[in-house]
Amino acid sequence: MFKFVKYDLEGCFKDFVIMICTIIILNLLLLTRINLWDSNIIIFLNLVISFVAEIIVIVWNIKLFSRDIYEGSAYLVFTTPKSGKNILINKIITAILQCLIVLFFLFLFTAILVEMLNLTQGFTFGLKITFGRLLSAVTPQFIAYSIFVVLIVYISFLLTVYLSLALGRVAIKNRKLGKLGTFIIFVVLCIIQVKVENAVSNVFPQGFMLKIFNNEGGQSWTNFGNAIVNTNNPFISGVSLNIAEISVSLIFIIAMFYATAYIIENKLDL
Amino acid sequence: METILKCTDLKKSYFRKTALNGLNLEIKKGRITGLLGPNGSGKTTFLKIIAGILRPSSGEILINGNRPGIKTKAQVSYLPDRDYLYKWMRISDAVNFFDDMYDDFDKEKAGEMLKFMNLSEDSKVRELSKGMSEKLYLTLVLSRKSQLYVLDEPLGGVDPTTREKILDAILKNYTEESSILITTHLVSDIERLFDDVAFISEGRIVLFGNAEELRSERKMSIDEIYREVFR
Repeated sequence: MFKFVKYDLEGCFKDFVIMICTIIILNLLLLTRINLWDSNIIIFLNLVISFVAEIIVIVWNIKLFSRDIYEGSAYLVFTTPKSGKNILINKIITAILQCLIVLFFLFLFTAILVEMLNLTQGFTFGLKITFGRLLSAVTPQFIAYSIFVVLIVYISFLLTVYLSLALGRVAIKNRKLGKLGTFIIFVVLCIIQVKVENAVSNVFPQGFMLKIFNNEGGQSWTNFGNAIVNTNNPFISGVSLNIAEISVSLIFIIAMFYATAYIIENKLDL
Repeated sequence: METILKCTDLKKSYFRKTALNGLNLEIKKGRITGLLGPNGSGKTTFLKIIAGILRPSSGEILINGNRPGIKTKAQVSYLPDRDYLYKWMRISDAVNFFDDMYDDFDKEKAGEMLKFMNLSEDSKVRELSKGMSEKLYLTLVLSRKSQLYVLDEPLGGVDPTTREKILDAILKNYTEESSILITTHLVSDIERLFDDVAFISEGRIVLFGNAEELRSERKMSIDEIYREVFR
């Protein structure tokens, strides 16, 4: 089932090693600047490293699919007796794994850096609450929901890109024009998704509130932080979630998955 | 004799260009068929349709009674006329890839063929010469126990010694249970392999027959018939 994942990850192994070594070296260099540079500058540079690394991962994720659509490896992948769904799910899993591995290292070094800055320079992100306490104060429902949302948003983004690539490849035979066409299709698909989601949430405004902090945590937050204590503050009342909007997002993901899988299995001419 | 491939009035058009224009062909089980024709006659287009990576505009193509798709991809072993392996791969990775993807892949046979072809499993794909790449691709394709082997220019750009090695490999691995369809420009080198020959021009078969019968009827080699047909 997941045989392509193995080869896709193996293929980017060297890039991964280079990327992770670079993240480690740059963050170690930042650690040597503690007490020499202002803590805000060190954190800013750490965020720049994270941002650049994430951009590179997104490029990898897109290339993972575009390579097998436009280059010679298409003959390797699409002559195998595997369905479009199988190929696509393997690409999505590989992309998420690439993202998670890099995110793990970025998060690890950011946490180390923040902790070191806290110990040496008393850096607290402008909040008088430690990172550990903040995490323990958040409700498990909110953590689960956050992971769910991040996954859904990223999978939705990947599928929008992959569907645009597949449509661009099928509709436009010229490679350069195809890539421009892909970009235009991507923009159009994004606009359609946003418009439909907004329209549906306006027609069906029903939703529910999801509490961010448990009672004790929320109290700590309002006691320690600078947040304005009123009932409209989402840190206290929770975040409002629209059921129809979430449902439409999920429907879009399913539709884009099946559309892309169908195109690469039945419409792609090499 | 059982039919493995049957095409009826097969057409493929790209905008204004017609690549296949009503192609009719039937390939029987256990036969080696040469598909011969000049550049742009529709050979590669036809093979891509058999491999399931190109859709015909109209007409019918049946492989073992099925239209090209996932099921037929498991029965057809296709050698494209271009480099298609990932550049990061070593030969061992390519062998493992085929072993993972195809149930009919015989890893032991692949090992033996690599030795026969003088290829080391540790070699990197991107460092192989044209001839070595051809030998590797053919090893991978012939190591499958497929019902239909579709070879697009297996001798393209390789020296005469390598050519002989490749032809020997094809003959050595051919069984009565499978059929082979080969396209080539090097007719004289490969014609000894053919049981049947199909001459293709402008997207249709202009001459088809048993290779031996064609030779004795016209008192010419297949190479000479080719020159006469496409004069």
